[in-house]
This record gives sequence, C-alpha cells and structure tokens, in this order.
Amino acid sequence: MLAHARLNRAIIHVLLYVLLSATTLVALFPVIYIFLASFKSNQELLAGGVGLLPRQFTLANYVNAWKAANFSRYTFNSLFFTGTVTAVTVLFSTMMGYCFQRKSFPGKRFMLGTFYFSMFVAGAVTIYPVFMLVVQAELHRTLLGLILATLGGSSILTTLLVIGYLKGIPKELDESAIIDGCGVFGVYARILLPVITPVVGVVTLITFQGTWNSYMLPLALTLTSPDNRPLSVGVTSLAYVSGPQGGMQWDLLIAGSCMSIIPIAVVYLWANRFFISGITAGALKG
Amino acid sequence: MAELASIYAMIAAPYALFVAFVLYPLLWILRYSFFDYDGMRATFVGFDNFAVLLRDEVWWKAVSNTLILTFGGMAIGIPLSLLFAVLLNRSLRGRVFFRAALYFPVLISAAVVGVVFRIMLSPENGILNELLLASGLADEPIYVLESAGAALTTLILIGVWQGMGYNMTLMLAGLQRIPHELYEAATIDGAGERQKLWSITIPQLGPMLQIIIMLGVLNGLKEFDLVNVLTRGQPNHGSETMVTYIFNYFFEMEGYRAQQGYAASASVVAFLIISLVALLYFKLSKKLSENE
Repeated sequence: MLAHARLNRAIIHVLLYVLLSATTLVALFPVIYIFLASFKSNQELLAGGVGLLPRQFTLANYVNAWKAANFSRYTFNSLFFTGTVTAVTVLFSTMMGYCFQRKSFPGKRFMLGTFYFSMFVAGAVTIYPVFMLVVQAELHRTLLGLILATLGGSSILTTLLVIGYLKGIPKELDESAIIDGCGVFGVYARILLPVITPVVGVVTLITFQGTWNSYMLPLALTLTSPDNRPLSVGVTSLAYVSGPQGGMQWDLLIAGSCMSIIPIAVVYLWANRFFISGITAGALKG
Repeated sequence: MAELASIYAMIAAPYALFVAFVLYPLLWILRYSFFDYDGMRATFVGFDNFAVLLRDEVWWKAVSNTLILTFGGMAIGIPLSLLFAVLLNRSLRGRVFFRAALYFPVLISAAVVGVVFRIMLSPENGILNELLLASGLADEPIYVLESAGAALTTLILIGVWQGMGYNMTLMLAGLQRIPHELYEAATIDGAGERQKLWSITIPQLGPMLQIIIMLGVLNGLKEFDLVNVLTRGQPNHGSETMVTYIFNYFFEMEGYRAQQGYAASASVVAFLIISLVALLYFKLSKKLSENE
C-alpha cells in the first residue's frame, strides 16, 4: 500500500514538471525564436524552415537596422524619453506624495479626487486633445512634447504608491527635523527621501517599464515626425511597410523587436524581485 | 504662509501638467462630442453625434469585439493563472525559475508582441506555418488572421499568453496572505487537497480575484496596442475595438474621414463605460485594504 502511494506521488510529481516545463516553453518560445532569428541572414529568414538556430551566425540585421534604417535614432529616442520621464516621475510623485500625505493645504482634497477620478480613463480616449495641445504649443516636432504629455499622466498611480508608503513612516521623524530648523522642502529632501528608497525603486521600475513599452501616445505624437519615434513605434511602423524588394522587411522587424525587448529583459534579470513586489503594490494601491 | 508657498511650489509643476494633459482633454472631448468638427470648423449639433453613434453598426461591432476580447481573455486566462499560482506556491524545486519565466512575457511592449506574432504567424514562411507543414498537420500555408472569428481568437490567445504571468503573480501574493493555521486546522479535520482548494484557497483569494478581474476589465476595455499592430481591426472591422475605432477617426487613418466631433462622442461613451467599471474597482479595493 505504502509503496503504491509513493509511486502515485512520484508520477504526479513527474506530470507536474512536464506541465510546468511545457508551459514555460510556450511562454518563452516567441522570445527565444525572435532572439535566435535575429542572428540569421536575410536569405535564411526569407527561406523559412523550422530550424531555430541560425545556420550562419551574423550581426548583419542589427548593423542594417542601426545604419540603414533609423534604429540608432529610435534607440536614442527611447533611452532619452524613458530616462527623462522616469527621473522626473520619481521626483514628481515623491514630492506630491509627501505634500499630500504630510501636509494640509487648500485644494488638496480636490486634487486627490481628480487623481482617483482620472486614473483609469486617462490616455485611451483623450489622445486627440493631447495631440492638439502639443501641436498648439509647437512641440510636435520635438521629443519634449512627447515627454511633457507623458508626464501629465505618469505620476498619478505612483503618487498614490508614495502616499501609501509614507503612511508607514512615523511623523516624529519630520517633527524632530523641523525643530532642527528644516523647512518643508528640507524635510522632504534630507529626511524622507533617504527613508523611502524602497518605494522609489518600485516607482522607478513601474515607470521605466511602462514608458519604454508605451505605444499609443508616442504613435499619435510622432505621426508627423517619424524621427522622434521611440523603438516601440519605430519597429511597429515597419510592420505594414514593404521593403525595396516588396514583402515584409523581416530582418529589420526582427532586429528591431529584439532591440526593444533586450534592455527591459536585462533590467528584469537584474532586478526581478523588485518587479514582482512592484507590480503587486501597483495593483493593490491602485 | 511660507509653508504653504513651498508646498505649492513643490506640486505646481506636476499638477499643472496633469491638468493640461489629463483633465483638460477630458473636458475637451465632452465639449466637442456636441459638435460637428473635422479639425477645421466646428458647428454645434446637440446630441446628433450620439444619435448617429447609436445606429453606427461598426461602432457596436467594436464595442462587442472589445467585450469579447476582454471577457474571452479572462475566461481562459484567470483559471490558468490560478492553476499555476497554486502549483508554484508549493515547495517545489525550481519554482523561482518557473515563476520568473512565466512572468517574462509581461515585460514586453504589447505593440512589439504584435510584431513578433505577425512574423511568427505570417503565411509566407512564418514559423507556425513551417512547423505545421513540416509535421504534416497542414497541406498549405494558413493565414490565421483571415476571418474575424479567427482574428479575435488569436488576439485572445496572445493576450492570455502575455497576461498570465501578471495575474499569476498577483494570485501568488494573495495566496501568501492566507494564514497557514487555516490549512493546518483543515488537515486535522481530515480535509483532502481538493476540499482545501475549494473551501479555503478560493474563498480566501476572493478579494484578490476581484481586483484581478477589475484590472482585467479596465485594461481590456482600453485595448489598442496589440490590435493596432497585429490586425489593424481587420478583416472588415472584424477585430476593431472601441479605442482603435476612436483613434482612426481622430487621426484620419486609412479609410477614415477625419471627424473629431464624432470620435469625441464615441470617447465619451467609452469613458462612461470605463468609469463605471473603475468605480466598482475602487469600492472593491477599498474593501480589500480595510480587511487587512
């Protein structure tokens, strides 16, 4: 009897691993496929076939995308756009979180109310007036317009996260600093900012990922200025354009996709614990 | 006084940007939903846009597609995420690896996911067709986005592929909040694994499940990125969503005549639908944080 039960357990164990491995393969297959394909030659890509590994390893697709297509520009745009938005969002949401959680001032309730009100609708349905504003400010040929428009909506959820975290930090900390002569800004910059680094990490990751991967707003704001496209828009805009010889430009599409995926994958491998706690916090505090 | 001045100095810039790029645009669409406006000239037309919208078959197709994508995706994705969350919550060798790997698709831009799957599903030498042909499962290349039904199914499955890790991670966080004593007491009472799942795990996960469902609905209703890249709402609006439809009218994409007033009224309707769900979400998440 006992041996029988043990055998059963072993079988279940094996089945469990088969299921998990199969699912993991499905989850990772598209990424592995596209990554390996990016090192194939263009002829090999066009020929098709079921082989995953490149017959001849080449970096030509990347070189091509980087030089001939506009991908060096797109990469720069993505880095500059994401970097600026992330840095400023961290600054904005910690400052607002601090003022909202620690201070009382006229208009506070109204401001917080508008944050909650707009959190889930912003973006999707208001894209056109946002575009018009940027055009009227004559910023539609610059990255600055895209950055400002993104910042308008990027600090809502993150401010609420900071407020939630500050609730757990004792007020005595501020009070002793005030007695020592710290002003409003001094308490924020010298006392609280160093204490709330965990939530700053979460805000950084959420914003970095969201901005790097954002698509609709950058698409709309760069319709008339292709040079300002970040990678996500640059590569997708090729999906419906035929190459000089006709047909899809597989080499550029594949290399471009990898250029968008690799940086975020590297950040994830380096900080995946933060990602997990970050998305959980983001969903619950929302 | 000096204190108030420094507070406003700290929040003025961020809040001004929020007003300009979030609040003002909301008022803008509300206003222009009552106008006939093509980007040049605006004439007040009262509720005319809404009346036309009410009879616009493509719009309602877009609404129903959006609902199919949202709820179809959740019907498949949520049970799957629950299954893997429960499996990976046990002490299991390699569970850290499995968790991290299943989360990986979440990281990628939905637009880039669209490109990757366009490549893989291509009827000209896409890997899916090559595999089908090589294994003898198909005689000639198939184009999976050819019919509306197949396009929607494909979009749902890709959505599940990309979103499962996210829901699984949230459920794992929910599972870890369940007190061990509950399971120990049940074991003493002689409950089996299945009984524990139904009478402890799922009820205790309840609030987290509600959050997951709400987030799923909210994000689903705004579906744009993947659709716009993979199918462009085709064939014949068969995979159009609310937001792709609105976007096309706003920006006069191929086959559309610019009609910003009309798009604004569609936006208002979409806004109302989304707000309703968001309101429910806040009620639920408030209840969840009060329970803690």
